[in-house]
Amino acid sequence: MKTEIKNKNKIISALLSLVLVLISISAAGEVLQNKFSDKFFLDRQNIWNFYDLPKNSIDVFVTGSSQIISGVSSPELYNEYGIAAYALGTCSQPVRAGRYWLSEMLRTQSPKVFVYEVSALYYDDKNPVSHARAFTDMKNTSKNKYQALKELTDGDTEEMLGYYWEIYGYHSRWNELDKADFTFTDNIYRDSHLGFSIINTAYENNNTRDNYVVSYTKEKKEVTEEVYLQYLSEMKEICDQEGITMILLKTPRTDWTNEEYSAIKDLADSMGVEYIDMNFAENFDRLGLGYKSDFMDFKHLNLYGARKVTSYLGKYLSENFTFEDERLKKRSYFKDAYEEYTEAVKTSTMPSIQKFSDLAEFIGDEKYSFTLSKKGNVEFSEKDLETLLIMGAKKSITEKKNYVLIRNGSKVKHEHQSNGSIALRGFTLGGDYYRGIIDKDGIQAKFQDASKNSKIASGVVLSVYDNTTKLKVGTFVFDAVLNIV
Amino acid sequence: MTFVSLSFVAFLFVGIALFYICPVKYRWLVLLGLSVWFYAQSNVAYLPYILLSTLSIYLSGVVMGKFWTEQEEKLKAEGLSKDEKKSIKEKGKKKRKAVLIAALVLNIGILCTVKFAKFFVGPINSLTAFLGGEGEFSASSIIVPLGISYYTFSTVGYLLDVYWKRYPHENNYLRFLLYAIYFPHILQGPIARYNNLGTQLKGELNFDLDRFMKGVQLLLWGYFKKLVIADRLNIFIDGVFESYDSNLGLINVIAMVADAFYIYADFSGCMDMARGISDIFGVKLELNFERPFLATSVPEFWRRWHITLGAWFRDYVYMPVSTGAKLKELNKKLKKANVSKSVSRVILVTIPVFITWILTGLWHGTGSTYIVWGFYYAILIALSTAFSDDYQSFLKKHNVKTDTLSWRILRIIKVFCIFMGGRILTVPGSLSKTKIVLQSIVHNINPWVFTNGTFWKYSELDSYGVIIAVLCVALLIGVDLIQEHLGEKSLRDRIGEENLFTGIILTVALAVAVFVYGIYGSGYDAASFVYMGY
Repeated sequence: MKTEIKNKNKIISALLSLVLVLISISAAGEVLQNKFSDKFFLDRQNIWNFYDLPKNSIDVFVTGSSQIISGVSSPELYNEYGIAAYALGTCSQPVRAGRYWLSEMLRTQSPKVFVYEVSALYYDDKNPVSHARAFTDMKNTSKNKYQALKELTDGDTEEMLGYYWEIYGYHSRWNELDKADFTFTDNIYRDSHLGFSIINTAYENNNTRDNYVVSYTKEKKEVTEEVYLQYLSEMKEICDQEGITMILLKTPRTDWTNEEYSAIKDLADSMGVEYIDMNFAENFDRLGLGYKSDFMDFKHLNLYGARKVTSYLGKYLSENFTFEDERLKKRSYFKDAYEEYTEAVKTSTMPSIQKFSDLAEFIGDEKYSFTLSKKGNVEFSEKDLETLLIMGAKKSITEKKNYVLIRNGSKVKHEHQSNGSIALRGFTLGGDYYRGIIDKDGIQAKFQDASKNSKIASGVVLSVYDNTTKLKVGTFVFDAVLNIV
Repeated sequence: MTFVSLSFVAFLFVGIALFYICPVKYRWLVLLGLSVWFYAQSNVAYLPYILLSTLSIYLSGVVMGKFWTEQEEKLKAEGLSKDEKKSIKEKGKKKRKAVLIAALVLNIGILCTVKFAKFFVGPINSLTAFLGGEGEFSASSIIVPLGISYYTFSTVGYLLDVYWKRYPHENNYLRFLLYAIYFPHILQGPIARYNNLGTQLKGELNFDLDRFMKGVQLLLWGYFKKLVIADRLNIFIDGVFESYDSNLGLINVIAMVADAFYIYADFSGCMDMARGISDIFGVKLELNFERPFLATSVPEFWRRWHITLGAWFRDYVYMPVSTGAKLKELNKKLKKANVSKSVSRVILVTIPVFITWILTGLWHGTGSTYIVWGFYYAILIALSTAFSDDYQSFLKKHNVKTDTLSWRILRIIKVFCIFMGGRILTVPGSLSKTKIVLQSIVHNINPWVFTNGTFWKYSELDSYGVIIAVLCVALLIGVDLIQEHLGEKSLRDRIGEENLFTGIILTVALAVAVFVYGIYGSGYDAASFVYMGY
């Protein structure tokens, strides 16, 4: 009898140990996992919201890098043309990600048109983990995710495991943890509207038409990696198999060249696909973009620019394809999404602010909450520092350090300054949920002269939220491209 | 595939499942299959070496066994005179010796060839070039089979035991192969004895939950030592010794202390894993470490550190040499030559000690640093053995109290310093680098390096990493002290006597600590086990 009890105890002990080990490791992984910055957080919203779409509900699927997030407004496509679309942009999306997202989309959707934004063809395929995650955050069980990871990691099982199992990938973060890492809450996503993010600020510039328009030339610029062409041709192959029309798209930006345009034009012709380049003079003029009012930075549009680009794209789509008018349906997922988007646009009442010091009079108001992050080497003027004091900063801000200030109403929730990375996650700003990390690389950016935007992701990024409506009212970027490349 | 690789963890899970699904009768075959697969995973080209070694030794054992039987049968015949019996024994011994020598030449020959071949690369290339060849033989083309030092020693030990008839030979080659290639011990030992491991592998390998769980606990403790302590300390040590010429002074001293704990955590951690894994399969491997840093003399240290290697050299080198005919002859000659007793003792002690330690040095590595390392210990041990009586009389004469705690602590520190001295001969990579490091320590007493930021510049561990490392080393020492206090009873058994929850909480805490604080995964480049190259 005694032996039996002893054996029973041993079995209970072994099973209990096993269960507790599994629970503890899983909890540790949840705490340790990387808390992505706004830009990757936005990616996640776009990705996870995509999985919320009803099955076979979209007619148009758009993918590409951040130009899509800020440049193609699916709610506007619904409103103006009745097109059911989802624009799934992820920051610096590698070409291979576009190819795998196409496959992933086809698991649940059967659109008529696939639009691919071509910027990534001239990106370096450096595959930093954070960017890789932007497309590897597909559903865990997805075969596409496995294939993409296999390719990304050259089949390195250990590296692949890090993308599936949090503690394996992020356990080395144990010395970066702070209070926010131990905050567990349901996520609330308010920034992504069918993949579109409302940005209502314009950047100070002296651009003219010449900074944008391109024309065809004999000189061509080859895409960064030859393998990109293979991915592109795979996309075309998939579309042909599924009876989907593929379209290449280029949203307007100042650094697009004749050689790049011409190379893609030839490529599109050889593939037999339509290519809509909005930098191409004729198209650009038709868009009627305001150089000073419609751009968030040199290569991203703001809300006003996005409306024009979307309208142009929608017109093309409705003229060339026949879609069932989504607006005529009594119950529509897109209708709900549009209503939420409209509400969000209404709330975006923050004026366009171009100087950091001008913020003081707005941000001083308890009506707003905000997150402010400074990455790398930013030079603040005396006036800027005074503004920061009004905003609630207490620390003596050092030029070279990374810095984060988060205020909820009148209360400063977080203020961190570090030579290394700063990771934050919480649930504060007017009910909004934020995650943030500034990585360890201190990247140069000149803050005072806002007209000279650096072409690297750095500088100061400010997201402001209205405490009453609990919606984001604006994103302000100073002396850098927005944290989105 | 090392114990810390992901593929090994998967292999282990599958292996455990297969092993226990299989009927008890065939479980040893599952272990054999797993072990061969594990070995071949590293490199299929290694397999012929271990097959040749085991087959040659197995067959030699069988032949020797046959000779023993023959001899015994002949001796049974009636009416044999004493001289005839002696002659039969001598003939039998001669035949067995011939087999033994042939097997030893082949196996030690293979071991020496793969270990020392790099020294002959230059001369061979010169020779082939001289003869008109291309002279492109390179050191990297030499295959050094995984665990060759371990399985050669284990199998050669078996052969010597059969030669001395300590136990009967094995009649089943596959069982003998399993003894040699058994995967928990093939990478880093412990060096097995056939009468222990071989016998267990022949017995019934039943499931015992208690032993299984204790095996898991030991495995986790091994992972903790390796991934959390050793690999973390290694980051610091590498950072410092890579800048061996930066005149770091006291930082080098800290690195030497860290290195002592690093090698201990690394090697004993691997042994704990090996023993833990083996426990899971119901096979008890020999203990290889017994709190070595609590030893109070160098010989005691080597009875506590890498115990199975020390025991192997003691049984198969030191004892045969010190009790062999040659040394007896020398003793006689010394007596005849009227050499004083104390001098004779020094000579007679020194010879086997030097032979043993130079061979031990060569076992660890083939460079000149390892020969110097062997000499270093040979001199220390020979001196301490030869002058042990004089030293004791000196202490007695000066009324030094030796049964006090402080005296014991002093002796422990002395042994630790001697160990560090031995390590510094080999760790920097060459004797010239060792000289630079030692000079920097002697000429540069610079405590300010710990306050002016120099320490952090070279440590490559941030402050959190240093805190974790220090806490873990303290834990390591604490566990050793508790175990020393417990004596024969293992700490795991002691924990088993506590409430059920104590064991559960400790197991969970250990597992979480390994997962969170371990140096593993693509973000880290975990160092491979130090003793795996031998």
